[in-house]
Amino acid sequence: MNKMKLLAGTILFGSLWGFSETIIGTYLHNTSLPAGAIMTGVFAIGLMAASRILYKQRGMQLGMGIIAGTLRLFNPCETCFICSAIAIMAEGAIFELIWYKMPLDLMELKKTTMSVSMGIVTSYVCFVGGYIVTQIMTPLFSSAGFYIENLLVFIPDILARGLIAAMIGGVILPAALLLKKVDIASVKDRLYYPVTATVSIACWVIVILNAIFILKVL
Amino acid sequence: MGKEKLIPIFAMVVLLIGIFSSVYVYATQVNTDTIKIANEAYTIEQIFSITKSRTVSTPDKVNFSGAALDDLIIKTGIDCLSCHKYKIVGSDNYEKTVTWENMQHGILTKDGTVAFSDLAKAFRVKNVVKIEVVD
Repeated sequence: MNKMKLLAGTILFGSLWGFSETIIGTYLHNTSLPAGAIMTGVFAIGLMAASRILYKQRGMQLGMGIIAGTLRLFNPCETCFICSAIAIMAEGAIFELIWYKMPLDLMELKKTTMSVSMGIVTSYVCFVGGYIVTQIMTPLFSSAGFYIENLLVFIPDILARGLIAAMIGGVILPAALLLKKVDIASVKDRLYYPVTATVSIACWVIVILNAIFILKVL
Repeated sequence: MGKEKLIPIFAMVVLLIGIFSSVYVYATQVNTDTIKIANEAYTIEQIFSITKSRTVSTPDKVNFSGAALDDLIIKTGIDCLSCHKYKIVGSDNYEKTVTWENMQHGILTKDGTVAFSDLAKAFRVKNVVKIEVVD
């Protein structure tokens, strides 16, 4: 695929991920819903799987994680900006590791059992990995410091919380595979670039305006 | 063994880990009406009757009011306050270790939540059951 097209796609999907983490994630965290599991299962896995299916390119999801993590820095409600950004980037890196050996044509995911299983494994490992990264990074960047026993005693809880993310991933990946019929390379440039640019810019503008609005209110 | 068998097995293992961890977390949850501070048990009412109150604004712009954690520790008679670290433990085993300086910016609310004005949301411990003094 054309490198410019791939770059535009990475920025688009990364911006959508960052937008969902910053805007939707913030509101979800204020509800009694399992926000972290929903964010990983639906948005992180959904968008990373969709981009891998559409663009058939390794490394793209790590790039998405870097863009989404950067966009996450514009959240005035965040208490440890760099920690959340690194956790999102870690999810992108974990996805790349899990999917590294997966052939790009994704023929192995043709069977429902395989796609559901892959969704479960990917979502669970990304959630648990991202959560552990946050639990390490936040104390490291604080005045209190990091204590390994604080993390170890909480590991069963993290593993338990991942169950919901796993189940969501088991539904989201087979749903994302419906995009296999879409041939992104055949989309005409005069349509592709304006659409990807407009959506990406809209994500960034909304997140930045939201940050300014919240800072003014507070 | 091919991927077609291996990945579903991994998925099963992952689900079993999640289920057993959920059972473990539920079984080990501590439900108590008292908070143990340096091996002495106190009720929330006792704590509020002996300590000064404080309102803090956390870094995520949430206001909390409750008993001042530093005053609470002083009232329990611990020596050399800044020589120790303080481990705040929740009923779900979530725990965070903080310094004496952090305790001076912390509060315990009536519903048993500990929050700090100088520490991130990750340091907010709900349903606190124990405050340990560690070296």
